[in-house]
Amino acid sequence: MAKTVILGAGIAGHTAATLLRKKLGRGHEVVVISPDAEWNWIPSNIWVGVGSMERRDVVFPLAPLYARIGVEFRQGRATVIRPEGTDALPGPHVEYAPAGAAPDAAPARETYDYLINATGPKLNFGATPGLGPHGGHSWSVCTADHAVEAARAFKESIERMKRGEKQTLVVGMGHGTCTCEGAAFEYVFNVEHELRRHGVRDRARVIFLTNENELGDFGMGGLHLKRGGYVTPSRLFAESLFVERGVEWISRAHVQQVNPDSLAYETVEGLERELAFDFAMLLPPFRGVGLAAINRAGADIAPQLFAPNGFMRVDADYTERPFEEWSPRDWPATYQNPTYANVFAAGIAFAPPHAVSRPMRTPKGTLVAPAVPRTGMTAGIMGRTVAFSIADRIQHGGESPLHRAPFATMGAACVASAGKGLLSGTAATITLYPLVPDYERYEFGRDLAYTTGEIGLAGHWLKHLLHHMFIYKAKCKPFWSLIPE
Amino acid sequence: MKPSDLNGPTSYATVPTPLTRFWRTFAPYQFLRFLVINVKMLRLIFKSHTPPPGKQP
Repeated sequence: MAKTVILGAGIAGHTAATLLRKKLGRGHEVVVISPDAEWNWIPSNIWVGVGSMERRDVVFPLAPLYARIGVEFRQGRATVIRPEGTDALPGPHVEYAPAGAAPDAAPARETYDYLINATGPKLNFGATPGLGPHGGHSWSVCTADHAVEAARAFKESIERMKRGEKQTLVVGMGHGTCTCEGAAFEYVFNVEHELRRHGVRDRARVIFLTNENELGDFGMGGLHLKRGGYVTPSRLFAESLFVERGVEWISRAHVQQVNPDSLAYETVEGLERELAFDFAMLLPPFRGVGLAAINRAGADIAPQLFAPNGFMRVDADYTERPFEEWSPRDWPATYQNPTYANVFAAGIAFAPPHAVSRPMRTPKGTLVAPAVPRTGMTAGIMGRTVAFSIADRIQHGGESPLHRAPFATMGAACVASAGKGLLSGTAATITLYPLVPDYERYEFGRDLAYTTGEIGLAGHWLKHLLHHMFIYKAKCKPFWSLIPE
Repeated sequence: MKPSDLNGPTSYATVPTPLTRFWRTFAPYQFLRFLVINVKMLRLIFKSHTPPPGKQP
């Protein structure tokens, strides 16, 4: 009997856990260790964050589901990986702090034959002074609870506008190295839609503050679309939306500090400005969750397992090179750790070899570099690939070939809604392939047959469909595995 | 656009015509687009789940 331990129950970890359970049957153990008691369909946090959806619509408890399908669930925060074990416990194992345990309590241990690190990110609000909902002065929609808090503050802002006050609402990225610009993009248009719905749009100044080189970069270096007989950059597509909805934008920006009613930022062009706001939703930068790694001799081996940003090293090429020499071949395909063959990382937890967008610096030397998004569909595919590799090795021997899903040749789909009603509001639907531009194969870096964008109600309906479909799949209801990641 | 927008970022952006905006919210047309987008998504998902041949580790 083999035992697979999965750290994290987000999209990648939960996908891996459910597929491993399905592939392996009850003869082998699958254990999930996660600090969260609930699964969260994060894309719909955007709707929760403007008050058009309830928290209960985007989460469900994990323990009953895992009990039903035969996955062991340990609610707790993983702290240490010991891939060579210890003298007292010789097998590879992880240590974790069970939920509710006293801070000085001894850690719990879970041995493993295979380990999947799918912890997701640490929401690094501390990178910018004053950033974030807890001890800071801005809101977030990264978790369902954050989204509920953001919705409450947004509602207060609307009430003030209804009483005749003018309000400035800032939405965007809280640091120069943030990722998931698409989420902030979607949030700002939902905010704008709600302001119209409440009849207070004329009293609001809405500003999108981003670390992207240009609007429409999305941390993926932008994309090109065939429109009206031309191949146009996504910048035009995105700017059109902003102009149409009257949303101002500030790009190439790094937020230096967030104060109770203003923020300070600098730009790549050398501007240093103060921006007053009444409501700000600013996403944090991500980093690894801070797992320690210790070998049998008690030495710190974190540098072997993790990149300096705390994400886990996998089969990528981490050689430092100038931007011009970056290649799609640098990106991983199996998500296996190069040092320990029974350790994998999936979803945000794997260390990208480099950015996809060209990194920039302000005249003061501050790095402004949007990180590539690796959530949603890509996280699900990584979870599936790793689960299939481990299942094969358990069933057919430790030398079975690993499954491959090269990150560089994955596609990505982004449906950014504005509004939630079935006949009101619209959505921008963007598909692109491949995720990492390949200028050797494609003139514009991507296959224009698969890289598309359009705006309309249809995308809106698709967003609703995806919401229900993926929650249905995550709950492992009948025929769930037929729904692709 | 207002004269004050001239040479500002908004004056360089493309803006949808009233007809384009109409099609974006005209439900029968959007139903057809919904089908088209679903086909596009399925093609993309299939392509993403089918990695190009490469060296096995």
